[in-house]
Amino acid sequence: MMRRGWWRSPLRAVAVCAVLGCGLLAYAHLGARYGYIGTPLKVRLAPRLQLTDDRGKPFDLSALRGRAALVYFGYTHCPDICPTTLAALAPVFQALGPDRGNAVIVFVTLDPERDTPALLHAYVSAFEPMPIGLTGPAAAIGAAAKDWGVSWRPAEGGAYIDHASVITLVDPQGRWRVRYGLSQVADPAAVARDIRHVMKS
Amino acid sequence: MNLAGPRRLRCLLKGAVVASGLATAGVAHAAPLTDVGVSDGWMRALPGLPAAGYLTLHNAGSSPATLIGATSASCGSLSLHRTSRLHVMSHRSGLAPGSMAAAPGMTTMQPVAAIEIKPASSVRLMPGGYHLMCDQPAARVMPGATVPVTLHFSGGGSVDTMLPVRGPRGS
Ligand SMILES: [Cu+2]
Repeated sequence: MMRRGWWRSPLRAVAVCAVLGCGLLAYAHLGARYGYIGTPLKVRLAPRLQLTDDRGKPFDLSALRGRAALVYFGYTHCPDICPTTLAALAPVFQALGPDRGNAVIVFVTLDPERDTPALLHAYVSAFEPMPIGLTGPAAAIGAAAKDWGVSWRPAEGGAYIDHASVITLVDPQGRWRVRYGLSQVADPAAVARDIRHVMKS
Repeated sequence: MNLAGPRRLRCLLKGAVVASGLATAGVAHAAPLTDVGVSDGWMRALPGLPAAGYLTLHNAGSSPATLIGATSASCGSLSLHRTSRLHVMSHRSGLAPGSMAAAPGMTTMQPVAAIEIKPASSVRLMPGGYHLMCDQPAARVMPGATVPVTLHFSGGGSVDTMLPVRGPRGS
């Protein structure tokens, strides 16, 4: 007697194909559903960010649950790339329209020695919308930068810092979602679309 | 007490030498580089912090022009800088697997000795690239003000320009 494998059963074959087909369709659908202007990150809970804010109060990233956060590591004596990147977020917030109240910018200093809460406060006050400035002990800043994948080092000469200039988008559930360089934030409408997308899903 | 007099005199003399040096530099302004034009200049001011200056240089001449420095009475020092990417890969990127993008490299800012503008072409000093770096800006460097800048070129020529000061949003 010839043995018939389970795959030889027409009914089962149809069932298997249906499952595979649906899976493929679902995959294709999900893949095509949304394309970020930024670089998608593996979705996972954002690393801890427990520092001191620009008003001298303790800060914990979890306090921002329910809002999207755009987290940037830099330093106030950075005259070119840091203010250029922060300023590029102003038109993004304009494009967010009524959703702008549900998003916040966080500026973490990599230069805690010079960037006291008072100096940070004067710095962030110059931007619109005003970021939350964060500082803290050098060890805590170093650990945060490492956890957040932001490489940095003191530049030759000492006054400046070489650093990855990237904005990490954290969703209202406190998860890493998307990362942006300066060239990617140059399209404010697209970044606003990304932020609205992570606000909803 | 007796020493104070000569010391003060020497100080004054030194000041006079510096002043005459500046006057000589001023004479150089009388022979400006007519082939080099400046447009779209501005400076970004942040309270008490280094300021970055941006502008576009046009060389209408038939030979290259080389910017080698800049001075301003409104800056403790003014230097040529360039922001650029360091292509260093990081393994702590957190990027989604299969992502085509490299881990974020570091951005660095370095002094630049010279910026060449080829004949009949332009070079932009702009955010994220070449810029003038104004360290210890004077208190008057604030949005709404104008900063006088002298651009120095190899061969001794110079070009004077005025940079309107804007806030961090560039407006
Ligand atoms: Cu610079």
